[in-house]
This record gives sequence, C-alpha cells and structure tokens, in this order.
Amino acid sequence: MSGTDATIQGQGAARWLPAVFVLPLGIVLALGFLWPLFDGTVNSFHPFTRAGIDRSTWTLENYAKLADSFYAGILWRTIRVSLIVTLLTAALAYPVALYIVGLSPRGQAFYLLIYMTPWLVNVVVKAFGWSLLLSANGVINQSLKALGIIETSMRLMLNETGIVIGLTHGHFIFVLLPLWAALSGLDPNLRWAAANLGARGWDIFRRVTLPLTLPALMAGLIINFTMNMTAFATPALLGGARARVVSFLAYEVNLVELNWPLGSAMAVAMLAISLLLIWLSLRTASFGSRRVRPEGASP
Amino acid sequence: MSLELKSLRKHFGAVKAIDDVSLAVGDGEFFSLLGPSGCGKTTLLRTIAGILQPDGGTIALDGRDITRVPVHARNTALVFQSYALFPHLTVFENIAFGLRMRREKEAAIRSRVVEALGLVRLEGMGERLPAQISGGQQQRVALARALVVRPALLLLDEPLSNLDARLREEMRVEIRRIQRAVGITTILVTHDIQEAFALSDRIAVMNQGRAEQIGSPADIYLRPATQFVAEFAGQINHFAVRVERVDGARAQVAASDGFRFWIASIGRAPAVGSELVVILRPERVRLDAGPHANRFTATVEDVTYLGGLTIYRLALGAHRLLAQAQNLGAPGPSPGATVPVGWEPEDGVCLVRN
Amino acid sequence: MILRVFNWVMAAVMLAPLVLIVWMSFTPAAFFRLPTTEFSLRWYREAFNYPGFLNSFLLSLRLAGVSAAIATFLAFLAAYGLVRFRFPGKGALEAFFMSPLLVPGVVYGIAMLQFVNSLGLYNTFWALVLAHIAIVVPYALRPIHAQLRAVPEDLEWAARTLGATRTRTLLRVTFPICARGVLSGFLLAFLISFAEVTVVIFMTGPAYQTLPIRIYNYLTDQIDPTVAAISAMLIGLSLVLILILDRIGGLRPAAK
Ligand SMILES: Nc1ncnc2c1ncn2[C@@H]1O[C@H](COP(=O)(O)OP(=O)(O)O)[C@@H](O)[C@H]1O
Ligand SMILES: [Mg+2]
Repeated sequence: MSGTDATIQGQGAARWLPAVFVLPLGIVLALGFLWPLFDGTVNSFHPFTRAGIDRSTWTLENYAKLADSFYAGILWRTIRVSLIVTLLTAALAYPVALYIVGLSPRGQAFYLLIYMTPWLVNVVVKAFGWSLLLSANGVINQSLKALGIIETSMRLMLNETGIVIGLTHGHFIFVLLPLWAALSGLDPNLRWAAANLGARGWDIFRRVTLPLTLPALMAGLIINFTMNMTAFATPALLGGARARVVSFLAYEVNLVELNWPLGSAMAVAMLAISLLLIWLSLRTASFGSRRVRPEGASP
Repeated sequence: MSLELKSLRKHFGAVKAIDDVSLAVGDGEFFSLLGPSGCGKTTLLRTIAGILQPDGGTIALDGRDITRVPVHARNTALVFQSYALFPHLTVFENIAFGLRMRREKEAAIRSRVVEALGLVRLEGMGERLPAQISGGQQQRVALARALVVRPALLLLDEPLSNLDARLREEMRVEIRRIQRAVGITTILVTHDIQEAFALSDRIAVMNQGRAEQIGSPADIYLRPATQFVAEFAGQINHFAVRVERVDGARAQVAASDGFRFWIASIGRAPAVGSELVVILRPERVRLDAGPHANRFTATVEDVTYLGGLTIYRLALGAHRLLAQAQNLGAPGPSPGATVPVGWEPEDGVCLVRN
Repeated sequence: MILRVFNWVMAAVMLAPLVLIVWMSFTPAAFFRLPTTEFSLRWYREAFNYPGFLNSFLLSLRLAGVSAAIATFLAFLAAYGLVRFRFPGKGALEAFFMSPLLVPGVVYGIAMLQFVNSLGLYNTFWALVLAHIAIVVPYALRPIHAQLRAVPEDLEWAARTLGATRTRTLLRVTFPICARGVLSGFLLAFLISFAEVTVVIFMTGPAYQTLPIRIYNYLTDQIDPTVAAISAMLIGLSLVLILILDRIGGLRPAAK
C-alpha cells in the first residue's frame, strides 16, 4: 500500500482554501433558504392586524388558532386521508415488490422505471391525466355507464377519493423502492416461498419475510405519509375546496386572506411534523439495517 | 541535477513517516529508497515532489532551496504507483499534458511527444485511450509523460509493482536503458531488493521513517550497517556473542551457550568483553572439510532445492544455521546426514549490539 | 400467477393517466370519448398558436436552465471542497447542502412568499431563480459528489507535478473526468426545476405563469384538449431526459 489514500489536497494549501469552494453554495443557501425559513418563523410569532404584521409585539396566538375546530378539522382530514393513502400504498406495493425481486435484473430495472414514471412526470400533468379518468364524464364513468353498471356518474374526484387515488399513484415509488431494496437483500428462498403463498409460503411470509422487511417498509411508509401530509397540487386539483387539506388551507391563508403570521405558524407546524417524521423514518431504517444484516447474511 | 535533503521530517499525527532524513543525490545518479511497506518511502518521494509539505528540514535542487516551491513549479516528474494516467485523454494527449501546461508550441509538442513515444517504444499507440492498452504499456506512457517535460528529477514510486514477474524484468532493463539515455537524476521507491540492486547506483535503506544506511548495492549487501539492513538485504544467520580474546587481525567470540568461532577484527579492534552481533550470509557457509578457520560438524535438518541453488537448514549444537550451495553436479547431502561446515573469519560481519 | 397479473394491473394503473393524455392529445374531438380511433394533430397546432403556452414554455425553460446551471456550478465547487479537503464542520455543511430535501414545498413556498415580499422582489424572475436553486441543489450535488469521490486524487497530483496549477487541474482533469456526474446533476436539477409547482404557486400566486402553473390554472377552470397536447409534450420531454439520465447512470444515485 502506498498510503496515498489519506493524503489531503490541502496539505500544502492555505487553511482558507476549502472556503473558496464551499462558501458560494453556503452563502446562496443561507440567503435563499435558511433566512426565509427563519424570517417566516419569526413572523409566526407576531400578531396579524389590518395594517399587516405587527412586528413590535410577540405572541403565540397564531399557534393557538391552529387548535380551533375549523383548522383542527382540516388537519384531521389531512391526517386521515394521508393515512389511508399510506396504508393503501403498503397493501399494493408489497405484492408488487415481492413479484419484482424475483425477476431478472433487466426485468427489475424495467418495472422499477415504470413505477418511477409517476414521480418523474409533472404533478399537474398527472392530475390532469387522473381527471380524464375520474371526472363526471371521464373514462371510468363513461365506461361503467356504457356497460349499464351505473346510471348516474359517480363522484370520483373533487372529494377525498380523488385525493387518495392521486396521492397513491404519485407517491407509490417511495414505498416500493425501499421495500424492493430490502427484499433484494433477503435469501432468495424466502422470497420464493413468500411469492408462492401456499400454506407453508404464507407461514414463512408472516414469520420471516415480513418481519425482516418491516423496518424498510415502515421507513418507506413514514416518508410516504410525510409527503402525503404536505402535498399541495394533487389535493388542490383532485380534491379542491370541497376537500380542503392543510396545504390548500395554507394557500388560502397566505395568498387570499394574506394572514402571513397565521400562514407562517402553519408552515412551522408542518415543518416540525415533517422533520419529526423523517427523523423517525431514518431511525426505523437504521434500526432495521442493524437487525436484518446479520440474519440476512447467513443463508 | 543534484538533490540534497537536510534533516527532513514529516509526521502524520503520532506517526513519524519521515524522521530526520538527510541525503544527497548526485547529478545523473540512479538512487533508490528501499524499505518495507509503511517505512515512509512514498511520503519521502511525495515530499520531494512537493505534494506533501515537510514539518522540518530543507530540500535543495542544485543548491537552490525549493522547500516552499509549490508542486507545479518544482519541475520534478513523479510516476505514480497507480500510473495516474488521465482516463479521458489519449496516450498522445497524456504525454503532451505537461508540455501544454508549459505552453509549448504545437509543433514542438508534436515532435517531442513522438520522440517520447519512440523512447518508450510505443510508436503508433498515440491515439489509444489508457483503458485500451495493457498494464505494461500504461507504465511506459506514465514514464514518457514524466520524461517528456525534461524534469529536473524523475521520481518513480514502485513503478513495477503492478506488473507480472516477466514484464517486471523487462521493464527493469527498459528503465535503466532510458535513464542512461536521458541521463536524468532518478529516485526510485521500491520494497524489492533485487530491483533496487539491479537499477541503482546507490540505495538508502529506510526503516520507520529513518534512512538506516546509504550506500552502493555492494555496501548494503556486504557491509550492512545494522541488523535491519542485513536482514532486509537477504537471508542471514546471526549470532549474539561476546568477544573473548583478540589475536592480531582476528578475535574469538562466544555465544552464551559457549559456541565459539573466529571473526576478523577489521578497523578498530573490538575490545575483549564487548557484545557483538555476527552476521553470516548462507552462501558463506561452506559444506566441505576444507582448512577453514571455523570448522564444525552439523546435521542436515531440511533441504530446499531451488534449481541452481540448494538451501540447507542445519543444526549446529543448539544453533540453527542456513547454508546455501550452488548445484555443480554432485548430489548434496540429504536430511539427517552429518556434514562438515566451515567459514573464514572475514565471512562474518560484526555489528555492535545495542 | 396472481402476483404477476397484479403487477401488470398496477403497472397499467401507473401508466394509465399518462397514456390517456397522450391518446387524447391526438384525437380531434373537444371532449374525450371512448372508443375513439380518429387521429389529429389539431390540438398541437392550437397549442403552438396560443402564445400563452409558448411564453410559459419559454419561461419555464429559461428558469430551469438558469437555475440548474447555477445550482450545478455551485454544487460542483461545493462537492470539490467537500471531497478534497478536510476541515471542521464538514459533515454539518454537507447535511446543510442536502437539507432542502427535508423541507416540504408548501413550507418553503410560504417562507419565500413572505421573504421575497419583504425584499420587494415579488414576482421577479430572479426571486424564482433563487428559490429554484435551493430546491434543486441537492439533486445536482448528489451525482457530482459521488462521481468526484471516484476520481483518484493521484490524477490531480499527476497534473500538478506536470506543471498545472490548481485551477488548470480542476478545468483540464477533474472537471472532464466528472463530466458525466455533472451532466447527470444538471439534468436532474433541470427536471426538478422544470416540474416545480408548489413553491412557484405560493411565491407568486397564479400570476407568474411557468408552464406547470399555466396547466394548473387551466385545470382549475376548464379542460380543453390543448392541455392534453401540452401535457403530452411535457411527458415526452421528461421521457427524453430520463432516458438520457438512465444512459449516463444518473438515476442510480438519485434513486437511492
Ligand atoms: N496521509 C496520511 N495520513 C496519515 N498517515 C499516513 C499518511 N500517509 C502515510 N501515512 C503513514 O505514514 C507511514 C509511511 O507511509 P508511506 O510513506 O506510504 O510508506 P511506504 O511508501 O514506505 O509504504 C505509514 O505508517 C502510513 O500509514
Ligand atoms: Mg509506498
């Protein structure tokens, strides 16, 4: 070994040299990212008056307002819808992941790319696509009517159903990918048994495969839930004012009512919840990798 | 150009990678840094090149202090152990790189690169990418890239270690030929004693950041300054002894178990009672009953046949003795045989024990 | 097998809305009715004749291009600093550079709305650029960082010993070797910026009409197959960029 690996370019260089490289981005992010977030947080502690933000007074009233039944009701709907999406995604993604890991590497890459497309396509385009399917005279209602199954159109969008469908589609990959990764790391026999759910296969799945992949599943689900909670365009277009979620409400508060202190309080609350959930997800995932690796390694 | 290092030091935390090294390399000399892995050879070479800054001491080229001159202005060309060819450039452009950095004229670049390709016998390979040529060829490109800028010093970091044995022999000859042809002052880093002996005018044997001995290959082999150098330069027998009696040009020494033999007291005579280590190379141990000053009878324990040579492991009382004999036709003794052994006082090398 | 069929169904559902858009964009009728077999480029013509969409498209292109270029440049410098030097607080700085990923668009959009207003930059191009840089920097940084780490430091030292200054080494050796990672980073950044909806809506209301915002506004009042043509073109654009990214291996670090 030549011991070169650890040599550092900075050996002969001035101590300030790294700053030349990292500071430009650091400054841009400090100005364009940290400062606005900080500024908004400060605003959330000022009262809102007719004249605008009263910067001379400090208050917690904006946060207290979030507990009002109107806001709390919308928060509750957001949580409920997000949770439904997350559970639905779990139920749908698990079988898909089980099937995909059994394919050839090319097949796996192919299907992963397909499941990734919704994430790579613009969110408003996706919403438009769904409205073609779900609207009152959309493809689904037309077809069902043509088949004589229903007479009047079902309401499939501009309500919670639309949000659930749109978000399940849009955030599917965030559960599928970690699940797929965890399953790929397992003994192929376990996957095979799980995929052939006979009596024995079901037993193996329930006792072995599921517990081993649970941390990855949980981590994916938490991320999925976080994204559902804070999604804006999909619930706005497929749910609308009839099924307001927190982000839609935040839009109205900030851009219609122009109540920025309250809007900021909502932002701070959402940020706190997301960070908490993301932290939880990372904890779950690292807990999982610590537990799964030694067991998964021995065949 | 000549190079002079004075009390050079370089630490990595608690590790003294270079520990007070002073040495001088003459103009046109082929000089090697030889030592086991981790002894600081690469660190020393990189410090000379300016990649690392020493913690103390000076580096001078032709008497000019270059310790603080930045890498790109040092005009020392380093051939890396990994070759470090630029993967996105052709062989031609790799070799031309240094000339372009020096803003040479296009025509001059062209002719010098072609000349360098000829020197390393890679005519016509200029348009290939490094990934499209063999390891030996990559090695030559690295060498050509270093030489084409006519550096003050050529620094080679284990240039042959990534080649297979046959190619290594071949490249060894090549490097020596090219170095002679160009007449460039060269410092080679290697852990391979044969390589160092075959190529070098002089060698510095390094151990834990220090230069234990600097001398010609013969000096290193025949007159090792320390037991470390002796051992590193090849297999040895060694005896820890006390001087019992001095008799003119000879002295009689004894190991703690009473095993006695004669050594030559060259230079200043060892004082009676002084403690020494006597080093005896296996090829000096003769398996015959000739009139040697030191004569014994030993039992053959083990025989290793190496073609031209055979190595015998002998038991001499409580001592183990390695002997090496050339195979000249007659079959040698077999394990279990009792054989006469002997050597002359001058065959042993005496080191003061510490 | 049940799982296989289920996978097909799910894959079909994933693609269905997108396929439908493309299909609709090629039919002549103003309403989408099944079954339909007619083929027409009418809505594509309409889309190109309607200056609003073209302007939005150009605006989006400019915004994504400028933001992605600046973000990629800054990310390359930062990645070089992070990979090649050791200094206190390096881990924290790296986490900071990736942290925009953790902040929901709604939250950042609200913050930017108020911030940009207080600076008097409301509804300006450069305010959007600033926001987009922050949003896309993590996407640019990741592939560049990964690629840079794979470049042996000895290559740079070889260049230096051959007489190249640090700057020339960066330009002539490091950058060309990392070109793939830089391109991946740029394309990803471009893709994300081009698609950004939430932050722009919050920052500017429906006023500043990037292409996705224009589609958004359209959807909130009527549905007209022109949108289908434009959406189909957007899908096509994403597809091309994704295929390029896949080719140069840019999706792998992004997926992890
Ligand atoms: N950049 C570095 N950081 C810390 N320790 C180093 C570094 N480079 C080398 N060392 C240490 O210095 C000693 C000498 O290393 P090196 O010069 O590479 O030895 P050699 O080339 O003789 O094998 C070794 O103990 C090595 O671990
Ligand atoms: Mg070395």
